[in-house]
Amino acid sequence: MATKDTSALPACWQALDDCLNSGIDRIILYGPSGIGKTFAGLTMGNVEAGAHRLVCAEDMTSANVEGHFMQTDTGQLKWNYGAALLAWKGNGINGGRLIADEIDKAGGDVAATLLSMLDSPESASWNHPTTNEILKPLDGFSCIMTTNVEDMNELPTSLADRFPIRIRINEPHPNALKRLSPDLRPMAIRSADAGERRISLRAFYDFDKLRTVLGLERAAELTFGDRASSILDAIKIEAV
Amino acid sequence: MATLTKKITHTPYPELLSRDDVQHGKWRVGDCAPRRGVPQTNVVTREMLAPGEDTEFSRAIRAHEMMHAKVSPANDMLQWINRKVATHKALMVTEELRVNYLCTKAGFDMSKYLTDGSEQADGEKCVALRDWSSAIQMCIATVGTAAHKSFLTGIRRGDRQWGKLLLGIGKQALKEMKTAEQTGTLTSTVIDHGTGLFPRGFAHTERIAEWVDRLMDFNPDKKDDDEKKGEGKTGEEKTDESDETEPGHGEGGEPDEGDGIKKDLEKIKPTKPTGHIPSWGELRIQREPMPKITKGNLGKKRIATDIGKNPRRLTRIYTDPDKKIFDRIVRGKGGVVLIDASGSMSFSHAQIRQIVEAAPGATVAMYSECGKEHPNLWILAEKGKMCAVLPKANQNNGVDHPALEWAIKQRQRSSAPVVWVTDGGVQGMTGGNFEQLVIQCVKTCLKNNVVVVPHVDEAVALLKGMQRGVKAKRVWPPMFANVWQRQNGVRLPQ
Repeated sequence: MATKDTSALPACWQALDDCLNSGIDRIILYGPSGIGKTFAGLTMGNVEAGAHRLVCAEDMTSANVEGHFMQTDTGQLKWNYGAALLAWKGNGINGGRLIADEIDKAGGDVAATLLSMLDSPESASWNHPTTNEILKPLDGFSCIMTTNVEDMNELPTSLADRFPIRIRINEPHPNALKRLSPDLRPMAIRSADAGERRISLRAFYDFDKLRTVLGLERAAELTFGDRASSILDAIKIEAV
Repeated sequence: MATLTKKITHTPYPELLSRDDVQHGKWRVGDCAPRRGVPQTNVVTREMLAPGEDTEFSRAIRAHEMMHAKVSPANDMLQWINRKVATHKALMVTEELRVNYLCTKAGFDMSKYLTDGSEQADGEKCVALRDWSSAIQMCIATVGTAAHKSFLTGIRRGDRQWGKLLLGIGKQALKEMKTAEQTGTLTSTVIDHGTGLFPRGFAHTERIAEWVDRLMDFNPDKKDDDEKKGEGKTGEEKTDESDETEPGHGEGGEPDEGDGIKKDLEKIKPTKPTGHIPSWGELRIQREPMPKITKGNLGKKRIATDIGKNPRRLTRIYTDPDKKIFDRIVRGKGGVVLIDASGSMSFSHAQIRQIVEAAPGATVAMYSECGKEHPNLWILAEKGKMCAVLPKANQNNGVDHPALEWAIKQRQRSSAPVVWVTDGGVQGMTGGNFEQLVIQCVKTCLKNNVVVVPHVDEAVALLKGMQRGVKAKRVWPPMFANVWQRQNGVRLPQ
């Protein structure tokens, strides 16, 4: 997803590109699912020092954020760093990137831990439980949070407050569309932000693949189920 | 997702359709009964009502609504109506035709499935009420669908002749759509650079709708009556034709019923597609300074007469050989004289004065498009006053029809005449002579009793004659007359 290859980016992707290139290190990407927000977080901008993904869920604990002890095969306890600390450490020279997915689903424990992890570099620090080593985020550490909620008020206030830049991603990245046959691309773009009636980009990938082998109608039936005939009719109308 | 269950309901997906003139977004799609007039599509608010039943009829309706979402005008419909090239009704029914035609092109069998069964009764009703205009509308709106056949059956039950006529019109309408399709812009939704109108493909609808309007104005019953009489007022041309043996005419000289009407109707033709959307410019009106006082005045005036009740001018007994000792009140009739001041026309200040004197209280204006920074319509005389010098114009036409409409609105009273001085070389903003624009001007003249003359001198003579009570007679410029004859097969009425 090297944005340099793309001459005319859609407005939402251009906004993200501009922010990352300007050194903004805290961004929320929100919008419909399945159009490449996470992929963009993992790949866009400078991610040479590594990108670490954290998929939030209600029953997740701070262990996934900070780290946890784990027994080795010899019975010893070994500390495993969590995604946030791995991103702090980066490649040892520069900080990496933390991608916190589905941030609206994070429980209180995770949200509180993330708060301290995403504090300003001057305030953020963490003590290693065994070595008492004090870790701080290295220069270049960045965080991109993603969510499907449309109303930013639904996010924990103090956490959202650390992310003044919020970009709504409403269409798939042009590079993600390149995997699709040209005739389906405009439809994939339009249906990505169609609310409850949306058809995901992944569904279009599968339909595209299946139709070459099984034919249009069978491919639609398998991919879209009871929506197949309506979608096929739409394809017919679009082709006029 | 791969559940292969029996489908019960279907929902159309207008979100998947692309347009160049409006942004895509979420749609609200609802279910409705599969009945004429119930399903609907609003491209602006992105709302659609379409039947979800698993029948071929409902599917045809869904395809129809989807095609509206794909090609029909969104929030620019009012602009198309305001152009007044075609009436709203004609635009609506012709758009139905375009949508049904495109659905057939997309592979939906509209000729088999799109009918709700009410059309036959509609046809019978049209004939029973002798409502030719509604019959034309329904005919055009259903062409290419199963409803068309039912409708014509209903028509034929009441009047076989109407059935023949409407069948021919339907075929011609489909032919026109095919011609439009060959231009490659029938489904285009781009914004037209010249006019700013969108979607571009709707220009084809407008062009055909203008023809539909003329068809609606045709009165087959009147023609029928004339034919039965054999020597009707319009019989001049028909008598000539009837001398020759034609298909359908037997040797005994007995013509098929209504053959003449059919021929007359076939002479009404649509204009040809040009690849452009012909359009008028916007009026920029300037009232010239009017320091000159003229004799003409709109108000009451008493003049001497030799008959009356109260002898108010007794001195005339000795001074006037005609002894006009009574008074008579005359009113200035007013009127509006609109002069085409394009490069092909010429007139002088003295002629304008003559106009004002011949028509007391008349408003005189001239128009010519001279670039966006300059006015294009100048009021030269008004209420007995007139300008000292004529403004420089003599460039393009550009605003013939808007100026004509403006002139009609300026009438001091409904009986005040409107005289349009033009050589008939009307042109839109893009230049070039478009038949569509000519017909629009002629229709407006006929509708509003505008008297057309080709030169200012003729306007002066005409106004003087009108003052004496002579009925005004139009002198149609050759271009108007030729275009009208070509498109309607009849001469322009005087």
